[in-house]
Amino acid sequence: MSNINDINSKQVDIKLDIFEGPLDLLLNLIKENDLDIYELSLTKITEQYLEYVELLKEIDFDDIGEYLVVAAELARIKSRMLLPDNDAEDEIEEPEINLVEMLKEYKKYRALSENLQNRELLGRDTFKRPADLSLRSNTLWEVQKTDIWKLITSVKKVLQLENYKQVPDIEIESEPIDHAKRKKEIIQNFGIRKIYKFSEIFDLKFGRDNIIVTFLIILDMIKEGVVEINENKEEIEFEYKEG
Amino acid sequence: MESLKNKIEAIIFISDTPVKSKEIADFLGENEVLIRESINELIAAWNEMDSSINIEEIAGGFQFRTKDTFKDLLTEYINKKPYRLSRAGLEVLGIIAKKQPVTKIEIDKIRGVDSVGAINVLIERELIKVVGEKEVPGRPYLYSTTELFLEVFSLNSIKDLPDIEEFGEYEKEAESEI
Repeated sequence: MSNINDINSKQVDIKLDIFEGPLDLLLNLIKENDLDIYELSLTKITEQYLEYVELLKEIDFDDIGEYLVVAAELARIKSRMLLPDNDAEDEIEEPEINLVEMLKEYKKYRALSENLQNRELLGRDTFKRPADLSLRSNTLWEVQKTDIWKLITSVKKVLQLENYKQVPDIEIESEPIDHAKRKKEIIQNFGIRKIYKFSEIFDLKFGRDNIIVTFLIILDMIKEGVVEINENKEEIEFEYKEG
Repeated sequence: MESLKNKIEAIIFISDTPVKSKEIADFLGENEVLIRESINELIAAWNEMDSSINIEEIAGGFQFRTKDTFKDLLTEYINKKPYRLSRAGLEVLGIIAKKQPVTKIEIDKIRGVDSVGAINVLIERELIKVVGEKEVPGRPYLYSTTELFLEVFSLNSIKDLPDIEEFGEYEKEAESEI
């Protein structure tokens, strides 16, 4: 039997390339706040950006470094804007990255990826012969529809809610959550019902660690294409797709 | 019935990848312009017919494909799990399609994030390939899109992708207002 440390280190190992990076997060925040890509806009969303980074830290996210580089740059822009004009040039060093330019460039490619997604896709919209009927054939394709940031936003809200319930100054040595066991539970649940509401999966009464582990498992299932998110409902729904 | 048009039709019909007009011309020992004309007639004929299939110009060649209207029917009929492309994967694919040949570092720089996972998946799915090494220290791999990429995304050539500078345009308009 593997010990608890093994299980925990495995959790950390999950590489979530499902996240599209700090620029994607910034663009989402800019859009959500109905702003354009300017330095001034960036100062307005800095706080929100940092909240997401906090959440990513909490799930032991591998690529956090890239998010921190952007966080530092956001802080730099903000501090420069607070200084009077004359001082600004002398005291603030040259930026390592030009975020506004990066965002503008990145946005073009994100638009291109949307264009690709909407093209007539072989194996999704059109089919050729000979139809390759083998499992996971090269002629059948689909595209991930889910916007992960919407899910993350909901998880973030739950975790913030949960803060209020925490009793300060009392530390309870809570039992680490078994990742594999929780995953089994989730899959078993989906065996009973194909669709679950967000609040049914992320149940507060099991605590913060459980929410984070569940979140990681769900992300993994979305990545595998086993679970799809329906975002258009009032509350996010998870739909289980047969493997 | 053994007209030139019907011969061409038969060749396109049995091929599992798009057939180029030059390939057909060489095989039949005919002038490529003549072949091209016949193919255009075939395309028009299939369009006019009350049929579920078309001949389409894909990846520089010609291929029989089902019409969009039948996608739900056929997805249900085939009933297999398709390859899944993540949003990150599509992003990397778009960057490679536009900038090819391109190194991973250049891709990472545009996305502000490491793209190794997406690149590996795209290679495995044969949508991109390594085409060489860049003549800089470290000699990083250069990536390009494949013929399969054109086929999957219904493109005749890379040039058929939209001009991405247009995507940034309304931003410039907003700028001039200030």
